Amino acid sequence: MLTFALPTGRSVYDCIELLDQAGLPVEKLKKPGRNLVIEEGNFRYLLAKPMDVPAMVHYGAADLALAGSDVIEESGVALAELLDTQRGKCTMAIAGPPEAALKFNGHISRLMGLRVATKYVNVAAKTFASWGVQIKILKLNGSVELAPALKLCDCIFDIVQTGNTLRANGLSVIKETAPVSLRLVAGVGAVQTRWNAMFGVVEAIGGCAVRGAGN
Amino acid sequence: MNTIPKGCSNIGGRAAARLEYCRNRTLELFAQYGYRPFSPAELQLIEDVWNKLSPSRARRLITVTSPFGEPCVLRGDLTLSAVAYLDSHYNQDERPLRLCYADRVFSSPQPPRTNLEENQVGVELLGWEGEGAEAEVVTLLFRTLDSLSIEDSFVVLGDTSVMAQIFAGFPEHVVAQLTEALQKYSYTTYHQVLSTLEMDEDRRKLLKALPTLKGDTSVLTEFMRLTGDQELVMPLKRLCDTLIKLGFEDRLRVDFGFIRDLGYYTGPVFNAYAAVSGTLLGGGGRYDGLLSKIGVEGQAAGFALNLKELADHSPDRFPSPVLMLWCGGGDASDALRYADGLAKKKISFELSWQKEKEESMRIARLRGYRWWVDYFGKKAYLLNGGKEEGIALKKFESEALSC
Repeated sequence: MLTFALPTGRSVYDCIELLDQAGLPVEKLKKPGRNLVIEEGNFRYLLAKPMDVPAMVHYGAADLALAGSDVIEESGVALAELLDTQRGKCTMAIAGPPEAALKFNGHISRLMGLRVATKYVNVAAKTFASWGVQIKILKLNGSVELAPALKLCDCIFDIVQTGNTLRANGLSVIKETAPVSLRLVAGVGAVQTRWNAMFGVVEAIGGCAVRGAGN
Repeated sequence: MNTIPKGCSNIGGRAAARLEYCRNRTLELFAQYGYRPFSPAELQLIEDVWNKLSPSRARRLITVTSPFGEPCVLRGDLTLSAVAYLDSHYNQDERPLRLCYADRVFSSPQPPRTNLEENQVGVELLGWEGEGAEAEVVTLLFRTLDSLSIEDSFVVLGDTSVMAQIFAGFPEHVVAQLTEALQKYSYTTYHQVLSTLEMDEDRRKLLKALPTLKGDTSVLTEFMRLTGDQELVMPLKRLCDTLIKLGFEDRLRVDFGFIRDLGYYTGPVFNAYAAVSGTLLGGGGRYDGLLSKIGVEGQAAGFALNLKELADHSPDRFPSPVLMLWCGGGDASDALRYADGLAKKKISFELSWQKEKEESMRIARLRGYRWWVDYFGKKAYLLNGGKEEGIALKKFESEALSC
């Protein structure tokens, strides 16, 4: 039996659709109720907070998982990233009010000491540091878009899908920093020792990913 | 209350006993195979290690300045110390050198782990010119796991030199990108880099398949079919054949996308896993390149195992002392002479100098001793939780201890 960790939240629908297309049994998964562990056919699905998925795979609680590249990067956990599913696509971006956008149009020195609200503190620090910019990070766990209006920060660093929430809060994308999508991941140990068991699933999901990219 | 730095741990009690048991058992085995103990310095000069490790590994070293003002790192790798020792202490005609160690290494942890230190046991076979080095080392790895009753384990083999030959002809920076992607198991990055390169279809097919060529030893045949080249994979195949002849086939895996992250391996590499939990127990490989960096010719191979993981996965346990010997209320020299006699018979015990008999028995029960012996009362008690009736010491010696 293969154990598959899946992130709860909005990306779970992308995950289920992908697994369904790959021919994995997902009927119970479509209606999980309050169950966090669902067994179907030869699979056990674990439903976990997106940020917990990498650690679950790393520690061997799950053989395979679908996780956003944003979450993988933020966690810093060593995982085998087997393929880009081309699903759950969005963008990691800096967003803010018009006055913040002006700072980004000028010399990079104007960004020094910028106050950035984000839940992706590690990725934000790494991104700005790669430009030689030191920032002040405000860690928030949600509703990051509120922070500029409350004068808690100059801009935010977050994932953007449609941009509707940004617009509703008077913000706009200033700079896109990285594309984000759902990745199929596995523990390094599992990849080396259980590859024969997981190879078929990886191939099936890979086939769907290629078809998805072609659409 | 004393606190300890984050990422460090004091190990005591049963865990320490298990650790010690595994350490002794492995060092004993290494000694049987002719490996001599080596105890390297805790500090290494930055200049000596920095360019010998991969950038990702070097960045995890913990830097310190010695009291003499020298920029150092806490020893992050024992192999580098072993190679330096070979270079400075042995002539060419004294090689090969077989070293073993049981010591700590230090590095910044990778999330989600937080430990700064790791207890390792390992061997290094340095400066051998002919064949057989890696077969000896991998066999010893299997024997080590077996000696700790971790027979339910795998060894995964790869070959860095095969990869180097497959990537030959690409620009250096592309080879570095592909190598780093495989080292990090980032197959998405690997495929992205591949998609930017021009090559014929056969080569692309092989390169695309490379990270998926894993599994039992039949993968070797699959690899030869894809490359149409038997010579390329021959060293790895010979190693596998030797290990199969020794009966390890079921515990062997091959992974053509496998690169160890230390950065100095130049030939076969391997990882050992506990089969049930899939936990990485350690690994090693061949690193002739590291020797050539310091001007030494010849082969070198070795492995290091995480002692704590070995202790966690070994069903064997450190044999606890059998009895508590109560010596209260009498001449200490008499009791100690009796204790010497027990030690000579290889019977493990703990001395108890409590004044009160009941207090001594309570501690013996608390520590889980099977027997409590009242030396001056010449009686022995079986602590089985039920009615504890004493038997004469002579009877105990002739019946219980003789078993």
